[in-house]
Order: sequence, then structure tokens, then C-alpha cells
Amino acid sequence: MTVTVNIPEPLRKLANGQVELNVEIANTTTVEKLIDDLESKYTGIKNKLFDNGEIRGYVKVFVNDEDINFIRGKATEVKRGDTVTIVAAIAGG
Amino acid sequence: MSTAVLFDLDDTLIDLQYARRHGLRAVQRILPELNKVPLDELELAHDAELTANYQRTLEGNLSDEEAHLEHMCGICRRYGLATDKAADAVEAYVHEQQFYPRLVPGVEELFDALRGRMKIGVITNGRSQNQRDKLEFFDLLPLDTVAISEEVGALKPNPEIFRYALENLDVQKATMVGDSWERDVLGAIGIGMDAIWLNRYRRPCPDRSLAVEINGFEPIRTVLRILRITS
Repeated sequence: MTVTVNIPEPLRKLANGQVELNVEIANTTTVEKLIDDLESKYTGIKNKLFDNGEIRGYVKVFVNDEDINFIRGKATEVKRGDTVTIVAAIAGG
Repeated sequence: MSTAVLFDLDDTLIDLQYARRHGLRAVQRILPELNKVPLDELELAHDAELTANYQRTLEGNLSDEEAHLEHMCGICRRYGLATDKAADAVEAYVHEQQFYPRLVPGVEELFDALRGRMKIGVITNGRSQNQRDKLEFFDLLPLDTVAISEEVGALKPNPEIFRYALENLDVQKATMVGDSWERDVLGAIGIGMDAIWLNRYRRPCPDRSLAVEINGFEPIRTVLRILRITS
């Protein structure tokens, strides 16, 4: 099984236009390692999500609808079958 | 002749309305009494609340969280609803919006066509970090000039922010493109720039002699023609 990663519209050009990516992992990984895996295939995506090794302030990542800020941040565990959704908290008023 | 085109950011380059409409649908789920209100009308009501607090928010006298709650309470009062669910509605609104970030259709293609042919910049009212985050996330950088109200200390339509943007450009002609008649069009004209009014929602044009009106960036050849660039 894979992990499904939902990509926000502005980042899709970095992912060859794909709305969602299916990423093969061992049994478990972390959000940070998952993003590293994505970066190896889709160059530039990590830079959009991380700054100085930390997830950018306006980027939010959900694992199965849970905001990772309320779990273990970038160290949050991701398992096969999980859905990871990346969003940008930068909309207006 | 060296020329520049300067864009407003929110609801001109970045399609905040698209996210807002999704946010308002989430509000209708929390406040089902609002389901009978057409989305267009609800959006206008929200816009009116937003406008009422706009200055206070930009000046930092109202936090984003306080502003959201005031807007939602205002909407509740407009439709005769109690405000006890307003905080829940705000949470749903803010949460939902995050899932729908996008540029106004045509912006990427337009920027590709403009780069190297004209200087490009952004003049925007807003908080520095918020606006810079947007420029970064939406891949709008690099730009030849960026003027953000919080950094400049002046809000559009104050001429100061337009002058700041133009200061280092060294161009003979500059055109402002924006969705706000008062802030973008009148502000730009006030200091001698040309203006293009982005009127995506086909509002009545206050004065056709002052600015060229477009309803979107697609097809970009229309915009390029107005800017006197052949595609």
C-alpha cells in the first residue's frame, strides 16, 4: 500500500500537474521523510514547504484530517494507507 | 521606451474569492439558516463586513482572529441570527479556505509573457509577512519592485506607496492593474500612472474615461495588447 498525498493547486506544476501522489513507503515514515521522498522525485517541492529545516508558518499538513501541529509536527508518523493533505493558510479575510 | 506593469496582489493575482466562496459554504453548514441566502448575496454581506473593518485590520488595530469574529457576528446580525455559533463558523470558514489557494486564471501565463519585456511589480495593502508568504508560495518572485503597505507605512490609494514602488524602477511609463477602483485605479491615476481595472464580477464601471476595464486575464493576448506588447 501507499500513502496518498494531496497537493495544493499552486504546487501541482512541481508535481507534473498531479492533484494527488501515491508514495511507496516502508511500513511507517514521518512527514519530514515523506517530503524528502517527494523532493527526490519532484524537485523544488520541499523548498516550498520547508524553511531552515522547519515547516513554513503558512503551510499546514494534515494526516488523515489531523493537523500535524497538534500531533508531533514534522515528526508525525505516517503509515501505509494514510492520506496526507498539504494546504496553505494564506487566504484572505 | 522602458515600461513597467504593477499589480495589486489580493483578488488580482491571487484568487482569494475562490477560497472565500468555499469558506462561506462551510459557514452555511454551521449556520444552516444561511442556506437560503444565495452565495452571491452572502459574499456581498461578507464583503461589506470586511470593508467595515478593513482599515482597522490593516493598521494592526484588529487582529485577524478578532476581525474574522467581527465579520461573522456582523453576518449573523444581518440575517437575524444569534451570534453564539459565530466562533464555530469562523473556524470552519478559516479551515475550509486553506484548501483552495489558487492564482487568478491566466496569471502564470501572463507573467511568463511579461518577464523580460517589461518590469513587473506588486503594490499591495497588507501585512508584510502575509503578503511576502503569498508571493513566495505562489511563485510570483522575483519581481522588480514590491511595495507592501505595512513596510511602506502608507495604504493604497495614498500616493506614497505608488511612489515607493516606482522609485527604483527607472521607467518612463507604468501601468497599475488592480481590482479595486478606489485603491488601485484612482490611486494610480492620482500620481500619473495608467490603470487597468480588473473587474471580474462585472460591477458597473464608475468612469470609463479613467481606466481600461478587463474582466479577467484570459486570453492574455488582450492584456498584452492593452500593454502594447505583441504576443
